[in-house]
Amino acid sequence: MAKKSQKGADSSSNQSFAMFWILILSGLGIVFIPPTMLVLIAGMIPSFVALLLNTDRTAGLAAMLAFNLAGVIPVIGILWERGQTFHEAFRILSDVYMWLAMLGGAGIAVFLAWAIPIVVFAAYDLQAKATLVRLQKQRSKLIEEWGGQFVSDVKDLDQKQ
Amino acid sequence: MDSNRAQMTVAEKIDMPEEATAGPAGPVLDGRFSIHLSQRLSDFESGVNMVVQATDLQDTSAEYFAVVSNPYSDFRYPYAQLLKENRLPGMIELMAHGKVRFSETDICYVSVFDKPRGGPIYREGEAPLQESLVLNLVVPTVAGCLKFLHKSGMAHRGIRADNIFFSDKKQRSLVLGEAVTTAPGSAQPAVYEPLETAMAHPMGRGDGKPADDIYAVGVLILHLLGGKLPASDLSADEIYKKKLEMGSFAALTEDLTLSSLVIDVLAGLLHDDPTKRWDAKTLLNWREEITSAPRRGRGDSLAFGKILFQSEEYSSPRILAHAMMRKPKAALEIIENGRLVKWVKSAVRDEEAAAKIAQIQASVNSSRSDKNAGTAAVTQAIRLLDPDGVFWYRDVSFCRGALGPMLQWAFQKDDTEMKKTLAELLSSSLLQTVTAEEMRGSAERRAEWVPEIVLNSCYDHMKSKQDIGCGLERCLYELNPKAPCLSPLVLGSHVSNLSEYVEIAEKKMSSSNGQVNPLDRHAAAFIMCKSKGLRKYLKTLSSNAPGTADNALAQIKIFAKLQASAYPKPLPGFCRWMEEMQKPILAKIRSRLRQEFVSKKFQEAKKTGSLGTILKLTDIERQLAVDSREYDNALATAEEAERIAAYLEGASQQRKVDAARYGTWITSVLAITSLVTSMIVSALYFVG
Repeated sequence: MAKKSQKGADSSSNQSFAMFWILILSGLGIVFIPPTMLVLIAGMIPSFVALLLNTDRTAGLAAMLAFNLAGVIPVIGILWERGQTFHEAFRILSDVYMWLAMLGGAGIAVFLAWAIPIVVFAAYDLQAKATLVRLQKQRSKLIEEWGGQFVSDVKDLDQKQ
Repeated sequence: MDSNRAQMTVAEKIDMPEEATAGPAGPVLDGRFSIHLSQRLSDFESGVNMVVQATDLQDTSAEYFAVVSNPYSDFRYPYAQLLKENRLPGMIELMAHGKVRFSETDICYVSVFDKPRGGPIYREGEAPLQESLVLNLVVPTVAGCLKFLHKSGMAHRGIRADNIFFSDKKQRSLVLGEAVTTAPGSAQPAVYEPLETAMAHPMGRGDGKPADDIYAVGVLILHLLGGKLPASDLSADEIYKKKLEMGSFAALTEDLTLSSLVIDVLAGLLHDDPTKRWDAKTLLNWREEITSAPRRGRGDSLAFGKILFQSEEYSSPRILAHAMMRKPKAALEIIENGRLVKWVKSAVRDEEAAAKIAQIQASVNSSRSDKNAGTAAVTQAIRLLDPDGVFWYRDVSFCRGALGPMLQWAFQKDDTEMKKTLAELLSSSLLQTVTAEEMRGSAERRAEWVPEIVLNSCYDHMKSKQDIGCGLERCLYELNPKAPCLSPLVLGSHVSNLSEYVEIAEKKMSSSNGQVNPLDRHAAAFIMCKSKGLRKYLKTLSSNAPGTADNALAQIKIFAKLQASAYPKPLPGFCRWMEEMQKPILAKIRSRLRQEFVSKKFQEAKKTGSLGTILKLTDIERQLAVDSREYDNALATAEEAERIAAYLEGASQQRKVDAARYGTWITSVLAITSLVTSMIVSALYFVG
């Protein structure tokens, strides 16, 4: 219990440390590169929403952030290529494809976070069913060789345990 | 047969006379004497044996009679051997003895004797014989015969009026009848027995001494001259008591008018002290030997005072001993309250006996709750009062060496009470205590008793009396080494060794398709008594109930060993039996495949008719061990499978949790990968 609480305390201090640096970098970014920050903040809205929903799914949130950022980085690259001005920033923000790139990443993150566990579960289920079938066959073989007494002996053994 | 004998162990090579078979002339003994079962000769019958006509195939004019022995009757082999080797004058001639096969499994022990032509000298109810005939013909004939017989240290033990015959049709010469085919003295009326053996059970009278024959001759003379059995109106107990009170001579002659010659002869023959009794030589030459009138016995010596027992006063230790036999509870009382010790010390004046009785009194008073201790105390006290008398225990009394025939009798009559008493006696230490004491005291007494080693062996076998191969049946064969096997399976086939047992049992097995039990209590005791190296199987038999696989396997192994050592011929009947016996063993094999395999092997090996080969080829013990091990493994496997299946069936939620965790991990990996890819691609595209 003490370890758990210590682990929780460490995690929250880490989060606070990350938040501190994010806020520092965000502050510096707003001061020195305001158009980039505008696009970044607009593009990262899905991540902020996920952050605000606070689903306790840290890994899911991380995936959302990573996918979202992966979609935003090329858009920022385009902004920087066109010249880092508010005009260009608003131009980009008015381009539906740019939004598609930025939100698409988040969308993929949401989709993967939903679909992959389902697929894995299905795989697990199939594997378990195959094992059950194999065990059933093995049991039938044993009964065929050792006779009816074997079944009751196995039952007795189970009951003893 | 010779090859069989070569393979037998020393213990198994017991006397195996050549067996006679039924030929065209019917059942024949020694290839010479034809036995005619349909022609009975009741004149010669005594006891349980059947007497029939026999003819000589080599000499049709000769007349013989054959005694067909009952399986339970005691045959006196040393005596028969002596008769066969020597022609005793005045004794009926034993022509041959041995086994005769009347049918495939009906085999009897038959003794062929020369048939006296003139019939018995005396029949009950006939007129008395003349004194001259008795003194001039009967006495010399019997005495002459006994003279030769007693030289070998053997007693006839069958001298009585109905056992003397005219050897010729003109009735000029006599012969003494046979006493080979029954237990010694068993056919004698009680009055013919001297004081030492009179109170013994007829089967427990023992081989006896030459002096016993002399005594019997005395009673014979009285019987023949009196025309009736002496003291025929008295019971055996009354006769014994009277003989002790008055002396045998006075007791048996009191109502008879006899000549002075006869009185002199009888005084010498009927003396109650065997050492003062005449011997055969004196009897043969009695006219020359008598210089003065022989001293007559006066019964038991009297004590200096009397003892009150059951409202009667006794002054004779032997009469008191006899009364104590009849009233053991009252006898125990006088031992416990010390009256007997006092009487023996003060009146009998036997300090040694008194000291021993005092010891008995002390031991019985210290173990009052033990019922057997009381009986043992009475037995010991009786023995001390009458050291030459019979050995008494509860309802049995016998002479020292006659325990074997007694036991045989108990089995013949299936007398539960007698068997119980004998079992109690054999399993108690009393017999050993008494024998040790008596054997230490006298070499003559040592010779009378059953050998100590046999008694010890019986004691050991009685310890585990519930076990097959032990108990009273085992004692029967230990005490009667020549007795045939009395198992119901082979009864009537006179089986006297293992080879014969297997042979006869095989025939019974074949005819019943293996549906008989070849190892009942008698058979097991007989086999264990005659063989060596089978003891380990006995332990298995004892520790596993009949019908179990281990028990069946032990039985099969016993007969496989017997076949190999005693009867190495194919045994299809036993194989069929083995097939039945193997059923519980096969049932113990759980694997169906293995069962089929073993059955197949058995059917192949069965054709050899050898139990050993079947055991070897089926390798049943290893198969059982492997099967057991594999079954345990299979159980463990099945249990593990059940556990896994149960887990898998109930772990759906867990799988969901696992899938969610693993899915998140995959998603995270994909996310990081896509982020890094995006950064690298963007950097390459926009910067590069």
